[in-house]
Amino acid sequence: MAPKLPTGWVHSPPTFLLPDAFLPLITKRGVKYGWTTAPARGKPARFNQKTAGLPTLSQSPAAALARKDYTLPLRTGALAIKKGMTALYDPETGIRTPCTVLQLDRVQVVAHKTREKHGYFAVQIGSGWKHSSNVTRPLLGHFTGAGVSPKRYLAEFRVKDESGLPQVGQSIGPEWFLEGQFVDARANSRGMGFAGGMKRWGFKGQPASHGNSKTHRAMGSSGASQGSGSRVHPGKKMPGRMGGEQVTVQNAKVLKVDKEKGLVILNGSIAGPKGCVVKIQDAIMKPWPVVPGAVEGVKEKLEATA
Amino acid sequence: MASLTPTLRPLACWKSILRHTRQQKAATRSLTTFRKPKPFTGPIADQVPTPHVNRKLKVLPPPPSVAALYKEPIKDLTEDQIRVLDPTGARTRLFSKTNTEAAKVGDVLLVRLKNGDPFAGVCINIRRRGIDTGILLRNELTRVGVEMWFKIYSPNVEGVEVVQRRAKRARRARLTYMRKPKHDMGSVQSIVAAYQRTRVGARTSNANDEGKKGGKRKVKGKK
Amino acid sequence: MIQLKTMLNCIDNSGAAVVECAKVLKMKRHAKIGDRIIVVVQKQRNFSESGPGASVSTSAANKVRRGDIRHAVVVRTKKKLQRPDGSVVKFDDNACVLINKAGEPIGTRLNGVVGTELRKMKWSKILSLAPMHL
Repeated sequence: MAPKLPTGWVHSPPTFLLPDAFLPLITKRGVKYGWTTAPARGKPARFNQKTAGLPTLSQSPAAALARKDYTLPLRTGALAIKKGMTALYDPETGIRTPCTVLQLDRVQVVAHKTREKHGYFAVQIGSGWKHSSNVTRPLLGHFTGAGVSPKRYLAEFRVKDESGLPQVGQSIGPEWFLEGQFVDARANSRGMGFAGGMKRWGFKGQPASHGNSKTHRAMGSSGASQGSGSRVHPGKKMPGRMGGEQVTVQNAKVLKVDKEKGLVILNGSIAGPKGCVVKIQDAIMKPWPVVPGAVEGVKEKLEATA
Repeated sequence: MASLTPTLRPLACWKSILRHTRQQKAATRSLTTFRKPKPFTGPIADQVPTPHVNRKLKVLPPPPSVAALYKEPIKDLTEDQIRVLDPTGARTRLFSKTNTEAAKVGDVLLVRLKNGDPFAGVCINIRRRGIDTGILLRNELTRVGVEMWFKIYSPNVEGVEVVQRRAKRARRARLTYMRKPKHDMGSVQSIVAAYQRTRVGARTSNANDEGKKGGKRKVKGKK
Repeated sequence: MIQLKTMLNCIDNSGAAVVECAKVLKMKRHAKIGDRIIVVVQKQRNFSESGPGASVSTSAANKVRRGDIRHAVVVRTKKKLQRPDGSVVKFDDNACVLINKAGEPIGTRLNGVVGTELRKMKWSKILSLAPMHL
């Protein structure tokens, strides 16, 4: 095929022949030929917030948010370092309570995630401190833009709506949690390395005796033959890397809060070794805690309306 | 530019030209977004783009850290609790490793409880773990062997007394062999009864007679 | 940890000496002190050899026979049991007390120490019969 000559200047007349009034000013989406009386639809908002008169979708970001509405915490959580375990004695009753000691270190709000921009509400929390020479430039700009020093750990805590977004740069201390409230604590568990079926999944293994030979801790069968399609089904529990995955402890009670030392003491054990990062946030299985400051705000509003 | 029209058409035919432009979006866009080069005005130096300078970002100083001040919160917590639960320091001293007068495995100990009868037995294990320090006592009650762990800092424990010291230092940290019938000490109730009798006698005869009891010492944690 | 087939000492004067656990009631796990179990009497007590107090017991002797199926309450376990204050109690044997369906002890006397957990589990009658509790 012979190369075509550039003929663009020929189909439409040169500009001096075509005054602006004759040309369509905006290219309208969906209106290719002819004309329409319907209002211009324009560009749809991101994450499908308004359905433009269409029926509500059951599977959409908006529907997902509506589903999560009930279980999303009202306020953000915090990042803490696990310092270890000890026990608290009640001098009156003599009851001993085993507990985990967590320490909050320079926890600050670094960024917000909003419905309009990201599709959901969340608070980015930073903790600790990192030397600026160990931080990449884009991240350094992120921290500087937020007005905080570079943080060692960053994590996101989802919240229900924009009222749960504290100001960027606000510090979150242990007093953020109330004594007696319940929190969910999530941390990466200790890595166990490559573990067999007995340790990893609690398989029974094989008997020690009764003619058994050299097979005591094996996995055993991995499934039926013809009945199950002569294959190993996906998700079959097998030996492999154990631990080192996030484990959530729900409804851990806050026994004690020490603002001076930055401590939050939780009842019972939390996953992970000493020094690991623990994410703590209001427990989703319990009623949201009544924060004194929030109560005052409501009171003011009530008084104003009364 | 897929569908091309005949290259030449009369320029005077306005209507067909306009309809055509409306249909040919690409062509329209190319017309509306026609880029006019900026007229050259300034000197040449202004036209050269500024070289990229690696500007230093402002790094904010870290806020003061409370975690750096309190690096061992568990140690602090333990000390705080011991201060409350053992104000005199008697319990700590009785089971400290440095104290030569401390209770050792093999000694017969008597634990006084806040609620319930005192329990006496031979100490076969001492587990030193800060606030969770505990002792394992073994005795025989109604011909049944009984073992009990007591946390020495527990508020339920009113005091621990040394009833009888072992004649020779035990050469094991844990005397679990004393569970075996061959080594079992049996009931220590008679030893404890004798000790309590001397205690009562000493108390009634003379309050200052503490020194006469020899090896038998009393260390009682004050509540 | 009392479960199916566990052999327990019977420490009352109902006439049973050794019983075997046949069922742990109201739970899927093993029984602890204060839990109710069903037992089979395996060995009867020979009262002529049981030492002092035998003459008193003979009157109430042999309320149960070998092979009888009875309810019982666990009063001592070899398994360590932790209390709320962190202390732990462990006995050298597993023992139980026979009771009737209503929960009253069959025997009139107990010989032997029992765990204090019985009070918490509302077995105060057994606790009052016992010579000693821990």
